[in-house]
Amino acid sequence: MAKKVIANIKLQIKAGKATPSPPIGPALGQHGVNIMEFCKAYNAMTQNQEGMVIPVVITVYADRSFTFVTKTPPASVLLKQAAKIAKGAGDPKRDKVGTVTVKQVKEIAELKYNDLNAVDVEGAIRIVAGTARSMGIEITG
Amino acid sequence: MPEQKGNAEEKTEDWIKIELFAPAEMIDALSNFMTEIGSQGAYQESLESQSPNGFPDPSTGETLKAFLPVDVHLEWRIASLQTYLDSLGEIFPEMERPTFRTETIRDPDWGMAWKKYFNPLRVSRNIVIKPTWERFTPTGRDIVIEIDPGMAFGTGQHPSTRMCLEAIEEILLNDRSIEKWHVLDVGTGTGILGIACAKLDAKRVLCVDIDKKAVDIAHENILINQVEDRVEILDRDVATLAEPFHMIVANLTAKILIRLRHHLFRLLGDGGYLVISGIVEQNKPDIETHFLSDEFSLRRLITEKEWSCYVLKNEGRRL
Repeated sequence: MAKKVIANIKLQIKAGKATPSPPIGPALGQHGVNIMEFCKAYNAMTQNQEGMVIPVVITVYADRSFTFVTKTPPASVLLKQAAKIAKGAGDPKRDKVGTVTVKQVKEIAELKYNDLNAVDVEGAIRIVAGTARSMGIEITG
Repeated sequence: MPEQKGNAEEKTEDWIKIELFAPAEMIDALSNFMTEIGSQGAYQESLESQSPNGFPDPSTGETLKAFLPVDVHLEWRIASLQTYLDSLGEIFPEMERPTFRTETIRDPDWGMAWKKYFNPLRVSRNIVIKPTWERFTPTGRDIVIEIDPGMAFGTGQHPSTRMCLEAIEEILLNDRSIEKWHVLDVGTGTGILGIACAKLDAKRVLCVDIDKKAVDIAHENILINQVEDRVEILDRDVATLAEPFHMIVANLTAKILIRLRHHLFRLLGDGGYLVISGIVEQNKPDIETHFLSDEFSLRRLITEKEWSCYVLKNEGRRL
């Protein structure tokens, strides 16, 4: 019989750098997960991608065992890479900090399609374009 | 501040928990923004599966949680967040405006909640790991290791630790060619592997870790298990060591193992065993390239789920 799931947690954290500090400690500790065991496993799995944000979805079971799957980097991180910027805008309505092309947005949308809950690639493109606007990144071409 | 007694615990700090309420389309950018103003990450949770990957449809509002340390930058960070949310509200007037609330978290105990699910665990034929706060009555040849892990790694619940315990048990019980075993445990964490070696009659065990907190926790566990006459714990890098060992056990990650390999080779005597663990499937080829040679032969490969533990023997054909 399948084990009973008590929680799903989606964490955005840096590859190879998991520690018991927030947000990992509170996110997992409240559900009774052995935090250090998770950190060990996540760091081992993501050590080759150090520096990138690698989201992870953790499923916690009633006996407090857990499984997790890592995802591709978030669209926001991929957009910063594409625009060659370190940070997004603090006031994206007024400040524009970089540009990406429509083609780059489409590539990111295709890569992130499965994670975005979009009904089709067009929907994924709209979500990624919205993320770009939210970061003060303009779309050209 | 009162002096800490008993277990070494994580230093308590104050944090501000920030809960952001926003349309799903904004969550990625908000998570990115929180990281840019000093959060080490952010998370969402759902208590039951709501969609194929466990998260709500994008049409509904979501909650994102992040933490900021209480320090001199806090006021600026909160003001920046408000500016950012106001700006998002202007960019997307058709969507619900994102909001947030804060809560101060004092003396966090999130590292402790899992302890009530840490029960005595038989990890090999003879070895049982028992949390200090649980009862267990050993029978026959049971070797009981008591562990209070604090916030250090190594409870025996993880496959990489279990496989190491299985490997060292087999070596220490079966190889009679060495009478007085000298063992090195690199990156000891809770001290679990070093303590196990002592309980399996190793004559001398040196545990090292570069994490001071882990060293304190391992020290406590060595005392609890009454093996302080044979087990020494040092806050040292393996590069600074010189004495040879009959067995070295290192439960780390593939990347760190490869980085430390020359020190591990250097400290292992002829005929000695090297037990390396914490290796995931994708890193096995790299490990084999760097560790297997005429000098170091593969004696045993233990696997559990995606994890592998290699037992290598120094064949003493050093050139």
